[in-house]
Amino acid sequence: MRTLRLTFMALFLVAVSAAHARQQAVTEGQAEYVLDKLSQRLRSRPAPRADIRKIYESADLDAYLRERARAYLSTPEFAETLSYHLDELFFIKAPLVSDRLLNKIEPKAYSESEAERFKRNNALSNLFRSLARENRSWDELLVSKSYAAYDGSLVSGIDASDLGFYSAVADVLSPISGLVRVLSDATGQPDANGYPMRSPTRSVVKLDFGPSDPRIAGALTTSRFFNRYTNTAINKNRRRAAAVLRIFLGKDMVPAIGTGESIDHELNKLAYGQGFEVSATEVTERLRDPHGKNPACYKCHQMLDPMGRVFASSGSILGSEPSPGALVLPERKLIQNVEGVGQLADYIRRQPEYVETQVRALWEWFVGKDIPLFRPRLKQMTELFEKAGRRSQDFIAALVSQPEFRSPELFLNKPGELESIEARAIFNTNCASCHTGDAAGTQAPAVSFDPLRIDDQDAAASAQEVYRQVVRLRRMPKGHKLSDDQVELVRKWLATGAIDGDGKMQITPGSVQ
Amino acid sequence: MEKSKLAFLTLSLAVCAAVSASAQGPSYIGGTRTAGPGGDTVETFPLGPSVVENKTGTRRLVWADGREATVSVGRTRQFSARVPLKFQENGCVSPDIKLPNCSLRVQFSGLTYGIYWTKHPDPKRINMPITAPNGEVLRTIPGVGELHFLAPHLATGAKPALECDSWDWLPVRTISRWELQSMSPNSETGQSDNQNELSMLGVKLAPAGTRLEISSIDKIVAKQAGQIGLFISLDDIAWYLPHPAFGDPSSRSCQMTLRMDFTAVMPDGFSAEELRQMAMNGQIVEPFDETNQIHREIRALVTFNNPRVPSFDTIESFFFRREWLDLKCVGTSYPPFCSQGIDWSQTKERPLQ
Repeated sequence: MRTLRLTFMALFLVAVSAAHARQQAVTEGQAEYVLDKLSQRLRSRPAPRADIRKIYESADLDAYLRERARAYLSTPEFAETLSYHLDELFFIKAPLVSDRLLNKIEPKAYSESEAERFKRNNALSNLFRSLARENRSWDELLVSKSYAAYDGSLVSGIDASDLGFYSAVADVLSPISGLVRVLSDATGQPDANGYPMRSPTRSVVKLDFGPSDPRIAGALTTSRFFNRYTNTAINKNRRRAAAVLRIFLGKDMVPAIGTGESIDHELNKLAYGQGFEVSATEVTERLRDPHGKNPACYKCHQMLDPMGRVFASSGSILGSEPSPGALVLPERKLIQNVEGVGQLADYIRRQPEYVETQVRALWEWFVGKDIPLFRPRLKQMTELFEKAGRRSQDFIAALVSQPEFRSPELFLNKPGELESIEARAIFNTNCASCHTGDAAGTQAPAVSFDPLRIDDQDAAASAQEVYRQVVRLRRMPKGHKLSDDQVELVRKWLATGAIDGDGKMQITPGSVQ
Repeated sequence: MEKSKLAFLTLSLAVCAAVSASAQGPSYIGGTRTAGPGGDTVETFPLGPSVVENKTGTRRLVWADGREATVSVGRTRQFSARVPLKFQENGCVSPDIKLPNCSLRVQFSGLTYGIYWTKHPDPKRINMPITAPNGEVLRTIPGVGELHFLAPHLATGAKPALECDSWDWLPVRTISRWELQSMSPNSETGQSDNQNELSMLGVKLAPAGTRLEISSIDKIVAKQAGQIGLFISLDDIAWYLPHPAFGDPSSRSCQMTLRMDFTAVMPDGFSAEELRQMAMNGQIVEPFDETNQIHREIRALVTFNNPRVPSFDTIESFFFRREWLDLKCVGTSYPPFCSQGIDWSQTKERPLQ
């Protein structure tokens, strides 16, 4: 049976890779599968029957699939789908209208509230959609200097407008100032999504800043980004920096202080452990040093603190002056001083970590999270990203023409590949912060996932120790427990050879027990 | 029912047509101004009551069905208190310099207002406040301690001032940003988190005896509706001071964090709890009636739903112009003027009360 599967897979791969060369290399059945997948991934809905029917009339199925992909990429549903993914990436609330659009609920069937209008029409979501609609460079997420900002009214408990956010940098109070021009206002006409502007008294206002304005940086300088990643006196914009590092550079920061607890309590716990209550001043003094000297803290803070400073001139709204800071990437010993958030964004988009993180995200959204993207393939995809000029539609069109997309899922996976992806996530979340080898007071040995190492032990010995501590004795991680599923996943990863980021086995399968 | 709807529609169309025929162009606040009887100026809006202004500047709201209302304003009793400030974090002053004992002296006073019926078919409604369609009384308070900056012409007594043992540590006279934070729901996650809620930009300090008086504020911005209190905070207060006065030379500003010590308020006769209660309840202790005030209140309310007036998720106070005529609800609102959304159409259409 397994031989049969492998044979089929091999045949299928040959067929797919030769698709460009030979007409009808894709069968109608396969084309139907691919077409439906294209529609699902790009439009969040099944392929139209008419499109499916045309498969059986088409002389060149491969060309037809490519044409349909392009057509789907130009639909409003694709804009909403991409926007939805970006909402998730930014951890912001998706607008209800996206649900309704994607679920084919007619606009007239409901009354959109002011809050919903804002969620749909704000500067950040409009930027997301414009990336999709206008095939803009993905970099615009970071470096765009234009916004379609929503001039909304008050909704209790929600910030249903974002013009005020720019009030210190743009004289939006005078809508005819040259800087601001009204895109669509009291006309009641349908907006770009085909939805009527319910309130004739509100407008979407176009804000255009200079191409080198150091205060402006695409999604980073929007009211929703600021409101999502709030700032406090203690936080000093690190929360915003952490979001930037996660979203654009693939660096997850683990917050030491929870956001839902009393800050005093959390600080006490952090500085003195449970059960001690001292004054906030003492805590601050005590914490001052660890931030600068304790490697466990410094590991993240050396990136967070200088990046956070680019937001320092802003309070509730965007500050009128740029604030200097720095992009620090310790692995590559990169310290790049910047004049403001605009320059920070410009430097970020030039980093290989940025390209890899964005390509990975787009791969997961459109090819599939369950299709591994190991390093050699990632390199090919980053080259494709550059070749497409980093333009959203062009790159996604290229992604969905890859064999991994067109083949039935899981066929390409070797045993242990999926576990490798999941195990890496578990390692990053649960192990990496303490097992740096230099975390003061923890006595935790240095552990790396890729290559698998505990201090200077080889992969086989390290794997054995991971198995003992995590799977058999369940001693690790300290402070909290992995779920049974997570432990089982680590076990499977080890049992199948501890596949690394290149897709290669680091140990002999079955050698760990 | 259908008949009454039709009649209403006809009446509305007639009013609109009349207004359109005699239009003198849109006024500043969006209505259409015409000359009324007796020299009054009548400002008509597509929906809702007209605003009738007499020669003395007094204004009243007049409904087509004969109902009338006007604004009544009250002011809370004024008193002052000294609230000790505790420095939590110092990123500005050299550790060699001992930070002094400081406190904020602030005069507490609030406004309370309502739109009250003056003519109504139901005699019980006379002198009672208009209720909004959601049943809430159109009455609120502008907070405490900030009349000098929000309504200067109503403020009395001294401006808020900082009192410290010494001033050597603070050679600048402008706090670039004075921020208040609190635990409140994050609009994106729905979860409460600690966040900066209100910023005062360009807070100027001027010597007043041994104190530094807060003489002016360039701009006030707030995130959430109902934000009350420019100076009083139960949570952290952050001051951002301009570089190069202090701090890290690579930075353009530095930050100090403070907290108010309400356990040690020097209240001039009030406890912290009393302060809180008074602030929250906005008790009317002095009836207050000022003609100009009434007309400005009405205009402020009418301005709320004006399409020409941007409203933002932050507020920017135009009070500094000392002209409430220029009041604009810029942002999520600052009570009382922006937070009460009045749906004039519903006010007009709902049955008499």
